[in-house]
Amino acid sequence: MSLLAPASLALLGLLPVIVFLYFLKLKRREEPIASTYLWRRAIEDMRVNALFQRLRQNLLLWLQLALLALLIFALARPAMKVRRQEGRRYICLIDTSASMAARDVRPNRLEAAKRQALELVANMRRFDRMMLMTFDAKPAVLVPPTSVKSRLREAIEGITTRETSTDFAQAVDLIAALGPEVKNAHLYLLSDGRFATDAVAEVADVELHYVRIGEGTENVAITALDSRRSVEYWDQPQVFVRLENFAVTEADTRLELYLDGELFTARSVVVPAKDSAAVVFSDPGLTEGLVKVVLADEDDLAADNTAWLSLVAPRQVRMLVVGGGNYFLELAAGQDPLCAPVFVSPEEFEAGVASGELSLGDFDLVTFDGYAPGSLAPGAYLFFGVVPPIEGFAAGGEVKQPVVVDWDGLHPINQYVNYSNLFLERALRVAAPADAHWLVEAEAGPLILWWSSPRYRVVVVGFDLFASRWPLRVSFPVFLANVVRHLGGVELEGGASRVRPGTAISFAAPPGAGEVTVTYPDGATAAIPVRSGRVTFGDTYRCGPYGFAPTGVPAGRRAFGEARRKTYVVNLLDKEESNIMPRRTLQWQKRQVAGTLQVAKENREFWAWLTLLALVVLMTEWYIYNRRVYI
Amino acid sequence: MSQVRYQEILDDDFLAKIEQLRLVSRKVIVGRIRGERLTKKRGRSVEFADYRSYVAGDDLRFLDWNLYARLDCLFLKLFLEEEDLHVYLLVDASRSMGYGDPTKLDYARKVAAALAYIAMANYDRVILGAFGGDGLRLVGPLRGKHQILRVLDFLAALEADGPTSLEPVFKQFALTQRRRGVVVLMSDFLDKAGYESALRYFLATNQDVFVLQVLAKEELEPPLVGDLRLVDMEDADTTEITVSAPLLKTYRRTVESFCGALKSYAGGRGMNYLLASTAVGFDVLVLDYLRRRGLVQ
Repeated sequence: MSLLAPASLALLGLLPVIVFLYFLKLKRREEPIASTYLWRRAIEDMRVNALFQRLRQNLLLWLQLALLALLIFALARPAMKVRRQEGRRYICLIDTSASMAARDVRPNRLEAAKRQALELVANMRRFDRMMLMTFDAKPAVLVPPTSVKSRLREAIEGITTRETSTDFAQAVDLIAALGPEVKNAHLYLLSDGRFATDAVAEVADVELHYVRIGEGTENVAITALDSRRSVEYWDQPQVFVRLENFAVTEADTRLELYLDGELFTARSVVVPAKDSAAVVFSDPGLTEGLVKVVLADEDDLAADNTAWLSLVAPRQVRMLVVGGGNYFLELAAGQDPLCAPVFVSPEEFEAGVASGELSLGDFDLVTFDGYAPGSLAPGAYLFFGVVPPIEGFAAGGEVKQPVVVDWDGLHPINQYVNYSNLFLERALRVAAPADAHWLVEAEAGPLILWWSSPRYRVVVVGFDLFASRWPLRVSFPVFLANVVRHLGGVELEGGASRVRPGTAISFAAPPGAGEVTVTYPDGATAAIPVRSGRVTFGDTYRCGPYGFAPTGVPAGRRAFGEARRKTYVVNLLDKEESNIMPRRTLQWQKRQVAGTLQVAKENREFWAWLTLLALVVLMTEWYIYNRRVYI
Repeated sequence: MSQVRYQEILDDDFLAKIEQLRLVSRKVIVGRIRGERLTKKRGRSVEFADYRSYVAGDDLRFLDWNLYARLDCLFLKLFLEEEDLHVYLLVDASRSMGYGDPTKLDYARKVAAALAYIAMANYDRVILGAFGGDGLRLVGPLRGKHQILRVLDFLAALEADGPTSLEPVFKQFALTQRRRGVVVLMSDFLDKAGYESALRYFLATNQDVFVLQVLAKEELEPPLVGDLRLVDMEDADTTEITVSAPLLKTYRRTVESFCGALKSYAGGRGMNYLLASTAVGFDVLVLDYLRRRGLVQ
């Protein structure tokens, strides 16, 4: 045994003080009596008859000394090394997704779940350990396994909902990864069960207790929001909204559309029970801006009553074409409604650059057809039949009649492009930096390359257009249009700027931008550094518009089309999350686990308090017996 | 202790009650003066006592002629002589008798006065005595109710003083008061030297002894609490005690044992014993207890 606080033993010096006070307080009162004869006989009789009587006189003193000694010994924290006692293991997993903000239980489902979690903590016995986790789109361990109840309570109190969907499988994967820490653990899932369970991994030796939170289903949600521009009327987009009614009664509601914060229009919508309804807005004036659609009527879940959409007016890409005159190139570029080409010859280009009349920074994209300048300023470039004057690029001879063997169909530049009928007479053997990405590959090497760096974004077509029949194929103008949109930084109808809650936003930063300032939906701002020319932002747990404004971009720079603010919108738009009817059972380890309405109560013994009370009563009885206290 | 006035000793109501009482002795004792008491001495009263043979010179009036007719012998009738009773009332006036409320001395004083009045009203001879710091003081013999004031004077002047020392007092009494009679001893008998040797002196006198042990109610049920230093009123002896239930229980048992031993000692030697507590009114003692015990009737 050891003493963890041996300094407390110094308090043993109080023992003599107690003895001193005991004898000090013994002031005897003088009482005259007729004769001490009988009293002496009585005292003698007591001493002779019972040995305990001798001790009794000072018994209280001894008891007080013993009490003080025990208290002091307790302060010294005696401890013994013993085999660690194992209690029960708990995992408290709380759902913090958007559906837990439902108000069918007051104040909301998450608060009800937190109450159940606190009950679990209160039920913990001496050696029990609990790990606290939350999960929504991503799981998180808030408190590792601990027996400290105060720490668990504090963490539970700080839990808030996030406007995201629910990924239970990820949470189970995290639990499984903990291995022996969770062996034979009791997993308490505090949730409404609105998530898929088919892809959940098996975790051996973990017993699931599903505490079902919530009871209602009165919810009408916006589950889809999109916009399209027709090819003919590209300046007049249409906004599509789908509403779903998860209640058992028909919903007659009002849908409002705001443009840049001002109410633009509204529609009355009747959505049948357990069904959906679609609304299309194509009003004149709805051209560009930040669109917000709102369900005016309140229901149990507010997070899915609002959705945003960024309508961006299509912007033409200013493209400079430097070449000797390529009819097909000129035709394809000229026919693209989003492309505003300017054609110059190499001589005009060099003279213009030399005189300063021509600045590459004025163009979103510069195409060099059969001509490569001596040097390049940072920007976006398309090369036909030549290699860029950038370190790492080199032409290593020619290849006769290369055959296309493969192309990257997932790359945006190759969208809707078919290279199977691309026949070439000859092509350059292009050497490129190691991180260049081939878009089209021939047996002799890459034919079309894509490469990006903090200063450059380059597509290299390693053959002369006239050395092939490609310009006669429909894939050529499609390819060119993809390049214009990808290198020119054209926002695709706002679709690329919509993300799900909890997913990361990533985009290329304008060259020269050192950091980007993000504005959250509630107006708060933060600075995000630019790394390797890209901005990555992951804190998208609230629904709403997120604005990104680069800083440090040279004035007038239009490369990538971005010197201005970029807006991304985060919407829930999750049918599974909006259907707030709690699941009664969950699939777990090949069996169905029924949900209970609350954590099972346990017997909490309080015999120790009763024993302490008995001790107090005993001491009181002793006092009354000895002092003849009468009530 | 201050002088006690007569009326505090005996009031008129009580006197009226005890007017009709008389002291009784189990042993009919020979007295000097012809009183109202039958004595074993053969005398001339109406109460037949015995026969004896006629001798010349006897009074012929007392011959039993019926007996002569039957037996043809002459026998003389003998009759009991009526004589007076000596009543000795000894009051302990030691300092220990000054304890209690009322004090034991006050109590004994009243009992002695009552008994003296009863005896004197019946023309018994009363000798009143007190013992304490000045040894044994006696007054009397007194006879007749008209002398009651002398009794009251004597009793009123008593003060609790001096140690309790029974043996020399009783010894002196036994040697100086040879007439047999009724002796009433009123004391607490708290003599540290013991009472046995003292009481033995009364055996030799063949007197009718009444041991009246007077104890204060505070001695029988001590109202003491806490940590005390008990001081003996006579010799200033001290004893430190911490009052507790077991101690009180043992003390009461000790008192009972002490009184029981005295009763047993007295009873075994032909003496009467009565424990008198100051909690019991002295009039109850006289009119009830002593009557039941046969001392008064």
